[in-house]
Amino acid sequence: MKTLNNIEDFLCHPEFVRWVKQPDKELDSYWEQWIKANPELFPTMRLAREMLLRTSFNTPLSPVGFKQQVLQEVLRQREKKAKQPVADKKEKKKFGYRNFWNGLGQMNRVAAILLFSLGMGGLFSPINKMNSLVEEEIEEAATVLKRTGAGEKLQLTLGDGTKVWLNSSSQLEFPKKFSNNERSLHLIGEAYFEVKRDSLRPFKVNTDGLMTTVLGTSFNINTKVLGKIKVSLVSGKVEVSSSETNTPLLPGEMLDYDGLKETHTIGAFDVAKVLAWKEGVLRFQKSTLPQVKAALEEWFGVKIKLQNANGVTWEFSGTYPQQTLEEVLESMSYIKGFDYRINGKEAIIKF
Amino acid sequence: MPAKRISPVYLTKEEPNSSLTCSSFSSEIAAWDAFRQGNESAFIFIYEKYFEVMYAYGFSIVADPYLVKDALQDLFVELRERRGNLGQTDAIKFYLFKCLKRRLIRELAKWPGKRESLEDLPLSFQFTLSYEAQLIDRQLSEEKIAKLNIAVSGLSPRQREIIYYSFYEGFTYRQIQDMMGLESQQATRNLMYKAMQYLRKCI
Repeated sequence: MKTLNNIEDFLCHPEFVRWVKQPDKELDSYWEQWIKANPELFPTMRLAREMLLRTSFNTPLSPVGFKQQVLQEVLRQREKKAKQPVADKKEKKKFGYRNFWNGLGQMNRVAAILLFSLGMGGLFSPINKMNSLVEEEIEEAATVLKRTGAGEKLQLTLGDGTKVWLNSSSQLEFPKKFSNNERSLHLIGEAYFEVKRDSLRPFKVNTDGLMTTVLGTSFNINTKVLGKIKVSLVSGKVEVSSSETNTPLLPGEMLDYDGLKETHTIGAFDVAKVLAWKEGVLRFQKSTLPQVKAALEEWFGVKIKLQNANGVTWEFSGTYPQQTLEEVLESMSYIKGFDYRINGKEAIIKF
Repeated sequence: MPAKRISPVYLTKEEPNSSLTCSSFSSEIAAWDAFRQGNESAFIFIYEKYFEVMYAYGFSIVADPYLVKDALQDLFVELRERRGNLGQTDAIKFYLFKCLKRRLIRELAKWPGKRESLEDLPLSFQFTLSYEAQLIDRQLSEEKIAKLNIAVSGLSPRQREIIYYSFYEGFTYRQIQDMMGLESQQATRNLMYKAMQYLRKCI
């Protein structure tokens, strides 16, 4: 028996690494019991776990087209070789194979903390109202539909224990009872998920044209502008599928999908910005006046009227954690020099 | 704007008529065996499943997309040519990684400056400790993570390589020993242990 005392003992323990990276029920149960038996090592274990989760390798996806090009080339050469029956065998020996690693477990599967943001056109805030959805369209047998309007947010817990935070003007549709082999949901708008781990039932979020599959942990999704989808991965590994591609994402990467052209690019992203809504932080980054207006209307569920705004150009940046409309407007009015008035669900900004 | 109703797209759902889906092969072993016997569905299955991870692995060894691409191409060509003579395996990824590593090193040895082992590749297997704040159960301060990242840059290429296999690919010590040509499992574990001990002391 190996004794576990230090962080390095944990990090060198294959079953500990496997538990953190690709947990299953048995491993959960093993380590839960283990830590109950050895409570003094809990802090060490937590640190080891965090170090492991934070380890992030620089492994980009292959450039677009490589996979197909290589496959075609492989098959083309195959044809050529077939016509020349005397294939050269110079490297035959080098490909020898030794079959002694028996008892190998599963291949690498990595738990994920995932952050999707679908359809964010520059600013996180969106104008795509769901109000025009017809009621009859959304009533389906055995499914539950949760909707939020502008200025509303909702937190709910699903039957499997998964927690969901639904942002404003969003809707989430899911079966009353998840099936035995998968947990499938449809999302329009934006939501943050803390997925209850269940390796037997993958958690699948369907958005328009893309599906993302995870086996556990937490992520955020936002589909607010039609045709544009962004999937951002914080930690771990997930797969994003469309009709064209099946793309694994790596930590720190954001997949930017254009549903109309069916193309995607991969880049970096700012977590604080994408998750600001969940923390109640209203953020602007170089936003124009119409963007700020739309964001405020969405965030606070109000109508804003602009007066004498002709010729006013804004490039406004600011962060407002947990503030009321009045606080936000008060602060902005100093910076941008305007007067404002709030009447219930309506606000007037006068230049 | 008319609201658009989500039409669910079950993209990874099995299509009963397609012989290319995972469902065709009950396990990796079955896919490998079918491939060895000439089954082209199995070849595509293996190709689809491993191309991207192999690219990532190759790129970690040498960050040259075209070199990795060529190596992958040659590897798959040869794999197909030799399919009848391949042995059994229950660890396809490990086997493919080994082939790829060997190929890349062979290729690099042709370069000026002769690199014959990964020790000579100072930039291989780069990793960092992410500052990501969303991790559940956060204990490390940004300051400590910064310290750790400085420490990471002091690891040897071989230490980074073993961390890659262990943390990122989930290889067993036995596989890592084979992969890195170490003399024993104990030596393999020691290499990993030293690296982890070094990092821990930096916290």
